[in-house]
Amino acid sequence: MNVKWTMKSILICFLSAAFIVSADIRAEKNRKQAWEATSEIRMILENMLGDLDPTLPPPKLLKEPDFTWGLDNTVYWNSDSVEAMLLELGMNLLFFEVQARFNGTELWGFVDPHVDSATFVNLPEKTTVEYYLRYFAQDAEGVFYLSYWSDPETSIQDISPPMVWSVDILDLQESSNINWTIGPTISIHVIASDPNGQVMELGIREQNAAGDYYLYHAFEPPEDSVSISIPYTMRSNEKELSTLTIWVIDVAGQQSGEFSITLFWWPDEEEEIICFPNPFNPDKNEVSVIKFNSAFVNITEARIFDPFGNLIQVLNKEPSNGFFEWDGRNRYGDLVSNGGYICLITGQPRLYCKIAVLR
Amino acid sequence: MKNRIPRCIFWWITLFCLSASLWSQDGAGQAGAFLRYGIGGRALGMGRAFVGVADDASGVYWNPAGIVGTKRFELASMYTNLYFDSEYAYFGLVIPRISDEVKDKVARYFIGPSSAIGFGWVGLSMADLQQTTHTGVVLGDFGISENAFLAAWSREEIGTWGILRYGVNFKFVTQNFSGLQSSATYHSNQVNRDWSGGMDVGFTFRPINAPLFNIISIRYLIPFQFGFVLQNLIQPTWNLMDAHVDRFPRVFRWGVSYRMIIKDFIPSSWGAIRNFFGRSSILTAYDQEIYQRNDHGHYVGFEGYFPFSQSGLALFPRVGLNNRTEGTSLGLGFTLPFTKEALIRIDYAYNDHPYLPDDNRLFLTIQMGEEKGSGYFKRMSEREGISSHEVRNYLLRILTEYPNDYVSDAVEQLALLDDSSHVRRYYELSGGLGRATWLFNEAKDFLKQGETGKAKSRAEKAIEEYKPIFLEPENPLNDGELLDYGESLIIANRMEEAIMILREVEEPSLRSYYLLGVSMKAMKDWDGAIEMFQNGIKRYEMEQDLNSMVCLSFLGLGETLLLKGEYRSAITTLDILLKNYSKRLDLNYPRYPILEDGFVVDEAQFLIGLCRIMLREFSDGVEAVMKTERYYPKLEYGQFVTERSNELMEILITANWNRLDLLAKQYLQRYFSE
Repeated sequence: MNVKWTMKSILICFLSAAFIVSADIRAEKNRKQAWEATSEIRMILENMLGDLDPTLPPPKLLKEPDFTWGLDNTVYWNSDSVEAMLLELGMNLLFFEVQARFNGTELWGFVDPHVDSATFVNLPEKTTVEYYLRYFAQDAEGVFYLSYWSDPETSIQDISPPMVWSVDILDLQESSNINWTIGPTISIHVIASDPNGQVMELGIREQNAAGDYYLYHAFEPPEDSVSISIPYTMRSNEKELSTLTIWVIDVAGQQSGEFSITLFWWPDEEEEIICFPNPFNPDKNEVSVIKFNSAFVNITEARIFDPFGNLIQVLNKEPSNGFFEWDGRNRYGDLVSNGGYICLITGQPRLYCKIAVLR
Repeated sequence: MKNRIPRCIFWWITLFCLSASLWSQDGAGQAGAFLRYGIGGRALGMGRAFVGVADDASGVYWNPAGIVGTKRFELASMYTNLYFDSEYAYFGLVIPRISDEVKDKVARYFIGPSSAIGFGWVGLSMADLQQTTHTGVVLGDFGISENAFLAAWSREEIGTWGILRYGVNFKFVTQNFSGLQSSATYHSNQVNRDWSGGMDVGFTFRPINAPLFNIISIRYLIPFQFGFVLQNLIQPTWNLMDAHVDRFPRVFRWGVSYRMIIKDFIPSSWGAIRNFFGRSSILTAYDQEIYQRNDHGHYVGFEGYFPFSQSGLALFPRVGLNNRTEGTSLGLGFTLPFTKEALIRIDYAYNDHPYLPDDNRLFLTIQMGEEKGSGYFKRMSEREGISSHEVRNYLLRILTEYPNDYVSDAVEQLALLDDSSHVRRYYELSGGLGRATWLFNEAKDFLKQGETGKAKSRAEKAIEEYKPIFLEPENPLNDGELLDYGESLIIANRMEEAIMILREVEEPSLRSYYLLGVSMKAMKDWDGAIEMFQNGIKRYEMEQDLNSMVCLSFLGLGETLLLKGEYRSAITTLDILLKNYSKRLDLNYPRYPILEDGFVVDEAQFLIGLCRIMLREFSDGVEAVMKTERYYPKLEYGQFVTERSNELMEILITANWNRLDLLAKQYLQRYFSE
């Protein structure tokens, strides 16, 4: 051999060795002991000479959920079935080795033979983690045997709860103090999403004087984000206050924040015009709502008069609203006195109601 | 009386002004709004401009000061459906000038003939309000009612300055929410009824001769009346829920009214039209309502008064508008007598509103008892045992009731009681013959003072008063009044008319002949003038009349003869004047045509001299002319001769008769041209 080739070979070998060593170092770097093995297991490992080739059938991990809440995950298996199988082969189960692999990282740990589970902690969120299981056995002669790795079970850690972005109730009228819509069946439009997982279920709770009522709507399949209109039949009586609370649950079982609204519903047969509450007390921040039939919804102005025709206040509203509000103040911002007043819808001389202020 | 007036009025006005500084917040939706709407068919038909009027039972509400101006015991009622079935009602009664007989001073102050009391009730009711919960559940109906019970007192003070009326009303107010059921926000055991008390104070003022106002003719001033009222000087409050106190806002309201007597604005020459309108009038009123902040209320109203008979049948059309309810109002009322001393008045008011339904209301008022108007004051002025001061005040009240049947008599009586400056104004009110006579006398006074311009102006006004009377079908002027009329025309230098009027005198007298002579002389009707002056002189001889007219008749006759060229006759006539009448002359008697007054004898002396010169009796003539200076050195022609005595002496010495003749003609020309 000439020197040049030898040097080249030595260099190649050195570099390969270096690579292997570095790979080994890297591999070693990304392998993390999830927990420290017991002394018994360490002693067994020390007594094993060299690596074993797998010869025994692989164990089976129990099914993992697609998403696991939190940053920890516990994987399960049936150690009794493995022991029974080994017993038939005349072997003893020594211990299990369980691994979690994600993003090039391996977490491993050894588990005593009678233990059916192992918990990995501080797992990353949003990452698919693969779990593997194998076991070590020994026959009567003291020969060590190794099983094949089990089929992987995967799961994604999900610590972020879902979010409800908006809840709209169709035809909801929102006054300063109170809300209402036409019922009893209302339409609830929900927009929600789960940043890491999927929205699995919508929950509705109605609280009224009679008690609580729950309704759940499952999303099949679960979705990252949902935008859905759900018909809901109010359980309360007409014009009875209820509080609706809406939330979603993701596949990790996490619940979003709750969205609540207190409202009541009117039947379809509405009066042409009604004022409520009557009398009202503006000193207690009450407002008088002047609600009228949806046929007149395009009206934008109403006027408050005293019984003598003196103009007290001019009320305006958006065309989409079906009501006016009066806070009990006159045109100069002063609260009016106790007494009766008349609200007349501009352009509709037969649409009026009598409002009383009682302070 | 004069001392008492400033003191008590001072305290009233002070109270008013101090409290007037404590304004309220803005008025829309404030407590007590039901007491600011207004009551009464007249007021509502006039757009609620009534503070300066307030002279009927509704004055208990509008301005308590005005109730003493009510003519009779009055019961008034109103019931109306306001907007959307709200109900509003009023009932009131006023007793004006309660007792003539009360003697005790304190009692007389409060219930005497210068005072009045009134009572009223105002009620507002809103029913069929729907009680609802916070979620629109209807619980039932409820109602709201507000009531005010009013007691008013008023008194008037009168002087030559005018009539001041002041008054106060006390009110008891209640508010009630009835029919409320317990709910989440209201418990039936909560208080739903409230009551409180308050007070209003008011004034009206009608000027007669008050300073600054006396620059306006009384005929056009009397119809003015000013009114001021401060509502809620003592503020009632609502305190229903014990959590919030709502005070009725203080409201200051002032107003002015003017009752225009239609015929006073029609030229006197349009007699038929003036007669047609008679005592018809148009009342105009303006009110302003003031709160502390913006949005003051302005109210304007008009009411016509058209009487059809003396018994009380009359028609009252009305119109008004204001910026509160943003609408106009129309009204019509009529009064019907139904017994000897009772009237019914029915009023209708229509109110238009831009947003609310139109409004129609009916009102009924009954007026009973003796009318406390001009006839009452006339009777009171004739009572025995009252002071001249009280008589004057009753007579002044008659004037403020202008027009009426007693104005002329009242003016005549006031002329005897009062000073001349006020009497002159009072005569403006009576007009007619009385005013004509007074103006004529004033013209003569100005002439005596040498103020010929003013004399002529007064004479012209007197003529305006005489003329329509003269033109009446039966010409009621007697001889003396005709002579005054004629003499007024002479003062105004309207000689042709003067002759026409003076010829209407039925029984000629020295004065009539004298005035005719003066007029004819001015018209250069020498023969006519000579005849009249001679007739006048003859009348003197028959009547033994010693006044200046005789003297002036002689002078006028002499002047006329001279102008005619009958110098000898002129000398004879003027000589008689010099010899017989120089000592009996009234130095101040005015001369016609309008000249500065002088002492006629120096003129007679002067003219005698000129006549002799014209007869070419030059020496005698100069001597006669020089006598003017010697006998009457301080009188006009005496001084005139003094200034020319050297010239005359020179002419006499040089016997330059041509020059003397020329001079005499110049003197004559100057004499008759001045």
